[in-house]
Amino acid sequence: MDTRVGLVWAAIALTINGCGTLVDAPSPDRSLPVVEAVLIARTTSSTVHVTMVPPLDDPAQGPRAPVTARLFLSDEAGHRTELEPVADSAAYLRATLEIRPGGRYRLDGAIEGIPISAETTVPAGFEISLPAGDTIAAALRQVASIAFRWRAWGATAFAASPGVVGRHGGTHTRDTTGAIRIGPPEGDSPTSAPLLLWAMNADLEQYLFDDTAPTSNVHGGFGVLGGAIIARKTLLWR
Amino acid sequence: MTRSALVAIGVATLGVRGAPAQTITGTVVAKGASTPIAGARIIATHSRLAAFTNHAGRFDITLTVLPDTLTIAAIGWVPDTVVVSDTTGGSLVIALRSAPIIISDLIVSGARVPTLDLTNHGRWRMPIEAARAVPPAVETDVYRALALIPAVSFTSPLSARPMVRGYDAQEVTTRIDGFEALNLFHLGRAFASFPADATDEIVVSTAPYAAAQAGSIAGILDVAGRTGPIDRFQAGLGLSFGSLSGYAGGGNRQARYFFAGRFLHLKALGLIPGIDVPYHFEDIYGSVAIGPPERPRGRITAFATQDRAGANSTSFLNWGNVLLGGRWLATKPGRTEVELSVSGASFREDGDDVPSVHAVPADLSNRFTRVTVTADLATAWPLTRVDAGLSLGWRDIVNRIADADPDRASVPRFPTTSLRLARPELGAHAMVTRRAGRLTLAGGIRLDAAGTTTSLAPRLSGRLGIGRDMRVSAGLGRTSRLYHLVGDARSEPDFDFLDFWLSAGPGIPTAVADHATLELNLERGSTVARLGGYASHGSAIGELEPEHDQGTARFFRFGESRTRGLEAQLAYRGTRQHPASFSLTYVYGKSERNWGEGWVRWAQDRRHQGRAFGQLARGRLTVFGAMDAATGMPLTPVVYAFGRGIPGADPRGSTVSLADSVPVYGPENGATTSGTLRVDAGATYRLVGRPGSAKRFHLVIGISIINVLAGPVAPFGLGEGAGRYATDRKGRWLPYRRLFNLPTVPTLTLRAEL
Repeated sequence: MDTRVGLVWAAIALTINGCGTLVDAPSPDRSLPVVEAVLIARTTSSTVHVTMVPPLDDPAQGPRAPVTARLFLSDEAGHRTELEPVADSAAYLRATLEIRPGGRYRLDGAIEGIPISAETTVPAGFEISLPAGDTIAAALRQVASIAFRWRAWGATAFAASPGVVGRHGGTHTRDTTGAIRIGPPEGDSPTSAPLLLWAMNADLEQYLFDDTAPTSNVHGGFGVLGGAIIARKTLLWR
Repeated sequence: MTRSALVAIGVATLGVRGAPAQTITGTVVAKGASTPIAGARIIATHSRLAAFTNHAGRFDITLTVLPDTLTIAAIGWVPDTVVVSDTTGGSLVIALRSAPIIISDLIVSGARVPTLDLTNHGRWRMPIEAARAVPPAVETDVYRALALIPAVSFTSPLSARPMVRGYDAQEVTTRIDGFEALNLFHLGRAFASFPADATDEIVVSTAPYAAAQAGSIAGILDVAGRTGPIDRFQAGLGLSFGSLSGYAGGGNRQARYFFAGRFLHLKALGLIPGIDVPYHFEDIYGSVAIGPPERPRGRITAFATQDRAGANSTSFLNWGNVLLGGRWLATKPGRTEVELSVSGASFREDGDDVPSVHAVPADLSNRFTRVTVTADLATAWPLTRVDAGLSLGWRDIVNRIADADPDRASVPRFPTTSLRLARPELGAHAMVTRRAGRLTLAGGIRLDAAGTTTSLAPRLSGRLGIGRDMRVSAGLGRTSRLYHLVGDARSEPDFDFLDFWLSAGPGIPTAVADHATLELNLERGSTVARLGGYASHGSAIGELEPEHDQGTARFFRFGESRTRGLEAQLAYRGTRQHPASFSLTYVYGKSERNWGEGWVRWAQDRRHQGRAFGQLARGRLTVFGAMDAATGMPLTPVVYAFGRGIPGADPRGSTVSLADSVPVYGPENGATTSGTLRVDAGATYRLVGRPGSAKRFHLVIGISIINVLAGPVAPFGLGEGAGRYATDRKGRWLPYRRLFNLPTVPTLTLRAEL
């Protein structure tokens, strides 16, 4: 009995061990249209990044500009504009349409014959109690810690550029109070730099800040049509 | 098989075929310990009838021919034969000796002759001796040893979460001595919190189980605790890398007690990959059996366990279970039995900054309390049996889970959960079993209600004897659950400690599954075979939205389930002169889900699994081994990858990495990982005492090695897969990672018994 048992075991082990490490990963047969755009409140011109991304196992080297792309941006009031190519930037299109705080917008059309569409609502009412004023003073050679208190309708996350705002050094936060930390510029000379404060909607947050599975709101392709409202301040290092 | 002398009963001998039916009662116990043996088969050779013992070891069987010969057999015990001349002398007490080689007996599920008890359809009983024949990782575990049972599968070799026939472990209910208990797991759900030393047997009942049972979609795991021996004291100590355990028991004819405890010592931590946290656990179990062993009147069960993990007050996870239950036989011996029971069980879990799904740490505070009173009635005639029961309960659930640090997370899909549910529950069932020749049929119905939610579940089953060696049985029925216990089936081998409890009611449907099963049992000489098929269709099956979802903001999802499969077991069992056993199992399974966009493979669906177990005893030495081979698990593939490029200003500012890579996932579970193969081996040597010897003191040393081949158990993903993450051919980061590299795990155990 023991000899027979041993032989059976050995045979089965050798047979199945040879099954190896195959991974059956199906591959799509076409490139994926990717659309990336952020509609900034109170602007009249929006740039849209459009690329065609080949499948992972395609020998093509990487994303390329689409051969054809015809897209339209429209608002709730019925204004509709066709996006125009940006000169010398094959993968970029520009829409000329007023982006109103709280407005809802739709991007649709076709990229290399593939219909795509996306919708988003732009945040509104970005109220910043802190930092107060348009100019913020910071000490040279020190990491600036600037308290913030803000809120915005339709925004799920906030960010500062440059700077980190998360309690653990994250580039964005959902908190409405906290502190922005900004590293000092090189050198000892007083200088000033722009500071952009962002209030962004969920579409943009979920696309930009999830590395494992960014969420797309572009139907027919992938990417984001996000909305944000930006406050501009000046950081004065002295 | 041994043949014992007449054990009972009286003096008169009828010896007349066709005489009026005589009902005989009795109890089957462990020799020298008086522990009741549940599920033992009693076959009356001349009357061609059979019965099974209940959880207290009791049975009754109606004989139509006297004298008759009763054959008593139970998994893990040496069969015995008793000649019965008449039925006037009272109850039989049949003491069985423990059998050292029992793996193959696990697959025997039916009686050779017609019986009025069909509950063995789709059920496996595993005595703890069988569990010890599975080469242990760290120590014998009552859950992981269920690998012996083809209906049970695990996500990884170190997982103790038993999945049953294509359904997650969350859909399986666990009971201790028949009383429901929740989350019987230690750290990482790698160990059961019920100690092996306290275990008498583990029973797996797959759906559709008997109408007397409820609360699970897929199946029920019953862990039966031990009972103390009669008129002597018995104690033991066990030592492993994982824990120190001990037990003691004793008693007399009026009452028998048993206590067991287990404590973690820190040596275990180095064997669990990736774990470096202060941690300890303690388990205690106690039971008291009241009344004479041939007819125990009652039993009291107490169980408690606690786990404490974490370095400080800001990052910790504490959880524990307390269970207290009692049963009482309210009737005197006779055709009808009424058993009353009362139980209370509470699961408690508190944690701060606990690692969880989607890399989001969580704060949690959970309570799950259930108090139940039940009354079960069983009455039997020679050809008919009626079972009925009523249970009243109160379930109190507190489920609070929140992001420990909302701004750290990037995914806004993690919901803050705050459920407080307290509501009465009602359960009622009735089942009638009728035998006609070789055919036995049972039909029943079960009603469950909680709050405003009700569920009606019909159950049908039948068994047909074909020839002397073959039985065919079938089951058809519905199972339901009035609350959802939702976890992440994909989390392992990573630790995920979050359980979301959602009560069925407005907005959340009741989980329901319809099952059909068919079994063929064949027993000829030393060869035993079992062939089973199953299929099910469920609705409102809950799950966490997978991490790779890129289109919705849902956190939970509910959908349909569809399973079907085939289980084949073939076993050889040796003789007393040549004790050995060998079992081969093949399982084909298909488990799918439909979340609203068509059927996809379930996350833990493995199409083909093969397992082999062997055991060989020579004197004081017993060697055993196991092999597990399976095809791969489903995988949601990354089909595109690119770097994000927001035109104009980017809110990520200067922190945008050049290595930024966006994975775009293909169809859910549209790819398959590689298959796995694992071989384990072990041996025990009795330093003092021999199996079945009269010596009071036994000392057993055991050694086992998990993953003898030392190869990767789950080579995974594209690219090299050697690190935590993989890259594609262009060097871009992809969120594939190897599930785990299981090293060769040696285990040394020492058991002393007095």
